Amino acid sequence: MPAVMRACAAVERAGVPAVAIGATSFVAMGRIIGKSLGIPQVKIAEYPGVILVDSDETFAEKVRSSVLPGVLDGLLAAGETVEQETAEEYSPRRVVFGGSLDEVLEHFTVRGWTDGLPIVPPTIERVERFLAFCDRDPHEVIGRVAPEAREVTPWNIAVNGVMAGCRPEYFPILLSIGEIIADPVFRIEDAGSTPGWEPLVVVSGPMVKELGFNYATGAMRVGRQANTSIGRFVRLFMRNVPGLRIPPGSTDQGAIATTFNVALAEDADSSLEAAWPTFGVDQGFAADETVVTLQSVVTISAPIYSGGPADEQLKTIGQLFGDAIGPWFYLALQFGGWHPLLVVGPGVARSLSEAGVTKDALRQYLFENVTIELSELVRYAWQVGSTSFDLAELVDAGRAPAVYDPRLGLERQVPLFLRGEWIGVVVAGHPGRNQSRAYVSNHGQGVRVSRKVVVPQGWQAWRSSR
Amino acid sequence: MEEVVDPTGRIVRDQVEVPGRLGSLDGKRIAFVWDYLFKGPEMFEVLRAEISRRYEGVTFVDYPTFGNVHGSDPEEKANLEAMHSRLTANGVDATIVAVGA
Repeated sequence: MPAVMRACAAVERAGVPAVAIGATSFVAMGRIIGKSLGIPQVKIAEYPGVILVDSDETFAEKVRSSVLPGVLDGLLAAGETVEQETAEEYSPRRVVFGGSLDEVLEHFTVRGWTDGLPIVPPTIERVERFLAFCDRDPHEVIGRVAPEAREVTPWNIAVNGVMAGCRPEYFPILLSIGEIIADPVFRIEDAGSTPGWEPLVVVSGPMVKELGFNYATGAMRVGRQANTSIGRFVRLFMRNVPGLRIPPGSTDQGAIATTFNVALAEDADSSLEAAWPTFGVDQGFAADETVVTLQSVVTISAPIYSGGPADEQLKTIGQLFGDAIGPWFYLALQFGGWHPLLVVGPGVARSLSEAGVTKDALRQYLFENVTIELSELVRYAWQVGSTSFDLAELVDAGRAPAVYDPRLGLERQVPLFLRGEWIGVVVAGHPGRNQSRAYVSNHGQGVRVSRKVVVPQGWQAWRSSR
Repeated sequence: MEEVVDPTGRIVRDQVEVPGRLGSLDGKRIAFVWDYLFKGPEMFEVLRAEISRRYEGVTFVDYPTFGNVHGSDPEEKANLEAMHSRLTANGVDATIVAVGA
């Protein structure tokens, strides 16, 4: 729906009336996006029900009986004007409510400002404690994020950090996360799409230890304040600033979706022990810099236990990684931006390294050996909704490698990774077990974006005071 | 007593000058714009037939003229930027954009 409304806005800006078509359950989402884009007058003709499960006959009948009247109404509603709704007043330092803790929680819950869990009340005093770790103007506009078209500032990053239960000293990390969310490349406006992808924060570098992140046993489990509260911050921020809300909201249409990921912290010591460059270095930063990376995660593999000789371990890692991806990979061919991530247990990394397997060799192995039958991609694409998925066209346009050309036959195995170098590898997890786990990204929505964390003035003083 | 602030942010909406709707589709040129999802061509085919049956002299510009407008498509931005010139070049009076789901 967001794409349809963006296209409608482009049409209306050209001075041509537009009408949108959308399935009924997406209409409310479309209206909110329309408002943000300055086109509240654009009507949405409704298709009732679920397009892809209707028979051809039912489909045609619904287009005639429901979509067509909506289209005509949208194009012919002569003289109708819709007043642009005035945005509600927002003033960052204004106290919007005062009361007991229970009353504050109720106030925030009623307004949809929480994730369903109690929050820490964001008082000015608490917010300012966070901003003590910020050298920038707290009201500097970092970006504007859809669907609700709100500005991202250090101030509202700090407010949501307070609410999530972060400590003030986490603010430099939160600021980097806010910058990435505001980066148009990341496409936060599409985080309400039906796959229900969730950002994953990866933290690498010195602040992992300085801030007490857990990068060992239970690295992706709630239970350590830094990992948990920063992961929760992302979801709260997405609700309150871009405005992505599940019902009774309408802008998050994740069909089943997943909950927030706790922040993944890298075990740099184990990575270096295996003579593997850290993930932060892989992203182009220096080893002594703290780096925050965000990327989408749409599904997670089964636990990958690997043992024995390196070739056996690689085979198992590839098999279970590939199983998690499956035909979802077609979206990588269609849209690019494919960034699967492998979290490798410290013992596995050491074992592979001792057998001469570098990080690059691991990536290359996965690229060369993990495959899927081409027909599976074509079959699944239609079912997801890509009813025009045309591999031959993508190959001819140079957007998909020639190996995916359906004219060479559909019943053959093709690589399940588009580029070896797009596979992220992070060492973390139980130091005494042989487990890894794979995180599958969405595609062009939530692509991998990294930022160096800027160490604020006073950081050394804070460290010394601990 | 907890005195709390707003966790959201300032809304800054785009401003678009609203083009007028049409009085009739007779003799008009209608464009189909598609995000390449959910059976758009099949939908456009039904709409084309029904609109042609109801209005005289109506003509259509098909979706390939405007490219894929899906948000994840690498060409979305370029296609949206080219929308104005493509609509003008094809003399379009009204546009049907589909399919959101």
